[in-house]
Amino acid sequence: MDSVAAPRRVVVSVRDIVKRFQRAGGSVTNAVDNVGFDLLAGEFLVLLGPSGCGKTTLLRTIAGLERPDGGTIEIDGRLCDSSENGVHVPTERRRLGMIFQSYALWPHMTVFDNVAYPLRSQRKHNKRDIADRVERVLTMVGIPELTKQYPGQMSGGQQQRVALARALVAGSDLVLFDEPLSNVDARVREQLRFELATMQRDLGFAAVYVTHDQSEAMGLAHRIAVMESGKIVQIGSPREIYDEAASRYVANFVGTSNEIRGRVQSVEPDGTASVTTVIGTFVGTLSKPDIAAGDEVILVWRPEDGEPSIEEPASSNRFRAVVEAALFLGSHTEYSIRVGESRFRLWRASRRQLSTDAEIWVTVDAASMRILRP
Amino acid sequence: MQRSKGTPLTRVAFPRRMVPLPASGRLGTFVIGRRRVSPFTAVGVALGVLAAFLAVYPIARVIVGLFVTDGRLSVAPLRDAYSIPDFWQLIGNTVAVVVASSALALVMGSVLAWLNERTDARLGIVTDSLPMIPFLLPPIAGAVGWVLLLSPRAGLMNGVIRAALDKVGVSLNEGPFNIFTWYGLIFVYLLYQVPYVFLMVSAGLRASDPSLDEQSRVCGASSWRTLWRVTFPATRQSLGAAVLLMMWQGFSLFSVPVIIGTGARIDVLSVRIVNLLSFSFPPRTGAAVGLSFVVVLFVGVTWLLQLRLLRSGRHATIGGKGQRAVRLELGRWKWPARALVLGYGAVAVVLPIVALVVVALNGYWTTNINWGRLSFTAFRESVFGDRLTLTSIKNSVSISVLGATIGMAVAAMVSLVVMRRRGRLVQAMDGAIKLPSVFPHLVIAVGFILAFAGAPFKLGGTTVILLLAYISIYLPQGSVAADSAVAQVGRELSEASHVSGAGGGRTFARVFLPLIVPGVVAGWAFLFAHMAGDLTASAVLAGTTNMVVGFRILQVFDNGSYAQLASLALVLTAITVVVVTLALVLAQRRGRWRQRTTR
Repeated sequence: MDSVAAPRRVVVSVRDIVKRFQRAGGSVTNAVDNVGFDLLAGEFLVLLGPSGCGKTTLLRTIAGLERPDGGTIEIDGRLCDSSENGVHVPTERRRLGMIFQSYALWPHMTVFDNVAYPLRSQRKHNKRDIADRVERVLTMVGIPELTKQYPGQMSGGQQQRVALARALVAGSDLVLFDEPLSNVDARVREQLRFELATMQRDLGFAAVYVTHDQSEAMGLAHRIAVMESGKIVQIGSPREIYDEAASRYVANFVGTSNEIRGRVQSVEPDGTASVTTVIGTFVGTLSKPDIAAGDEVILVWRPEDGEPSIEEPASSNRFRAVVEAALFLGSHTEYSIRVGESRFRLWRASRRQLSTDAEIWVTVDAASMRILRP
Repeated sequence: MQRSKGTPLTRVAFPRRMVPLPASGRLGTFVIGRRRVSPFTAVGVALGVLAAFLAVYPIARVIVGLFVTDGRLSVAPLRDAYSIPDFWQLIGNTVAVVVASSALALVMGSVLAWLNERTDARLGIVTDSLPMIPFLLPPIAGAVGWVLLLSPRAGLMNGVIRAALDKVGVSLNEGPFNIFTWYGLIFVYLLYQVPYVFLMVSAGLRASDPSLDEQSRVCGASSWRTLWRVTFPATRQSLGAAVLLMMWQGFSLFSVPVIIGTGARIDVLSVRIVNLLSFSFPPRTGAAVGLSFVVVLFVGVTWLLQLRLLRSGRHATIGGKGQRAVRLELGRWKWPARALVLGYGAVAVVLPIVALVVVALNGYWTTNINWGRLSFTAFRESVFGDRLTLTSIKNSVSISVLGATIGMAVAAMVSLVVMRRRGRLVQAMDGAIKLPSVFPHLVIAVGFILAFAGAPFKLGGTTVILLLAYISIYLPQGSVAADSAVAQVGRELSEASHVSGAGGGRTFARVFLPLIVPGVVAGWAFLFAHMAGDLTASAVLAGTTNMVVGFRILQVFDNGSYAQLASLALVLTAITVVVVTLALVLAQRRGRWRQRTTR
């Protein structure tokens, strides 16, 4: 799933985009605040963040549905937005595909008419040509038999395929997704996500995908850009985002984490540092090189990285805790453990049970314990 | 389809300059303030501003007219109105009739709505179409019909009852019923108030969460207790809206009191205002404006009460979509309940129409109908043999077709513009267009006299002033219909069209138009029916030079025969029914994809 290293064509280039909105009270907020990234051909980029972080606005700006107040956007090497030069190419001439939250299939048109619409808008194809292309793209997404149906008669999965066919039919290799899976129920969502990932890898279009659901982001993305109040706070592969969160915000937003406050005692040249906390001294990995001895920091570790044992372990990164509660979750069991006033979560495969009220030792590897700024 | 996050908070600046932009823009792009505006939006805004002017200016003239006479500040109109000898009597009569009929209608309409929405007494299209009644059978036709039925001597129904009583030995010379009484007047008002309550309460019941009721049942409350303690209280908002509608409608209703009130010697405000304006020489405009103010005052007070009710926030919470309540099984009360619903239908529609048909075909009004000699001769003579009547029909149909078409076109364009850009200007425009809906029709008609009859417009006595007044009066309803049609078309559907490479024009023609046609056509039918059957504005604004059906009916009522009156009322009803049915069938056909969809 890691992005391919070989040099590839840049499909979208976003530089320093700013979008301001005036609130009802008159104050101005930056919905998108100096954002920049490059999207490579065939790459699947997910914009991840809570609602109100500006991810949808950013997507709509790329689509040309919003006009940025600053910065530039190039699509396929063509300048589409530049507030400095007053350039704003309207949406209908950006030659991209977009899939909306509701799929936005026109209910009064058949599947054929829906998919043929972008071709007919171009006014350069004859009837035969349109029929051929629509048939080809519908076969590509696996629903060649549905041409005469109306969208209202179809399942969510079929609607997603039609929307994708409509986005791809005019030959665009960039598709924007605006939380398309957010209003289907959980079971269907998982299936649609899988289908979508497979089709994107097979058909090879580049995608920008907006979601607030971190598991969706993990399952789909080559790269994830985590957003917070209009800014991209970290961009990287799902593994990097999960294992090497650069901030508390990212660590908490992506996955579950345990936190302990502490103070840096000493910094080692290999990028590790030892940190004193109320439950003992731990060695962890620095997230930023500028953290120095004496700094207030937060130690963050994932619930699955804690290794419980009954016997006292030989390793140093360990603490003693009491099991307060166990929550059986099927594939794993979540334990709530307590050390003095602090509570942590611990995930273990369900095969071996820890009994409640048991006193245990927990070891966390220095590589799994990240030192972040508070 | 909801978008809470990305709602643009950007504002449209007020149009300081509006010039074509030749530089980087496409051909035909305009700049309003600092934003680019498509020609489509520019036309929409222009039409909207025009419609807003038409709506606001006459009302402003009424308000100014209250305090300014001949260029000087004075309260002469209010003094003139107050000095009408029977001023308090007028107000008392109007309030009595409106309040009594509204109170009764509130009970009856709620019961009918509840039976139709929540019990198994529902009778499909028959009960669903109840609210269409005032829409298809204009109040003037209903009022005339009931006069023909229950006039003390010649009333057809009275005749039938007397004949029956005669058989059991009771002989009467007149009666037993008399429509020209307080009861008669309130009764016919009631018939036309019930549908408003039915409409609002049905909507309220449909929107309120049936699980509220179910919860009450689970808590051990009986069906009746649930009904009175949970179901109806939860629709308070709808009941409030119904009361407001009834006040608004009742205070300016003219057709029913002019027919029945005049015969019963019960004067009400609306009839007096029209008399002061149209049947006094010289017209006593000042006093009419003063009385209009009283009408506005009453509606305003109701509106304030309604606002307080809304603010209290204790009305129904709207549940999720498509929840359907389990219908209450009425058991042996099912048929009595149905009889009640059907009885209302018979009294409000069937009986008056039968009376109109019998009298129109008989040629004159008598209780001794010779059933074998009924023919179309009299009907034909009184309608097609009468030059004035023919002219009035022609004028009414053409004005209504034109008015409804212009009205819905403007309403649809404005709704689209409003949905796309929520600037201050656009919002003000939308509000202005809907403003006439809070003023009684009569007041707006008076405003049109003040605003457009004299210099500089000099439109008095023309068909143009009627057309403009109709548009102004009925545009709010058209606008609401268009709003809901447009709102159903989610913003994403049009954005998807832009993404697919289509511009504003193509998006409107291929995506918006087909999707809003059913709603817009329904709105058109509504406007047409109201414009064709309008009596209130016509009574004030029409005359011999711009004859319309409404005015002709009043003329015939004053100095024609009842057979002629019945014929004219029937023609009006027939035109309305045919046009509305055609329009709705057409809309249904255009919206065929709806039936094929399963969700």
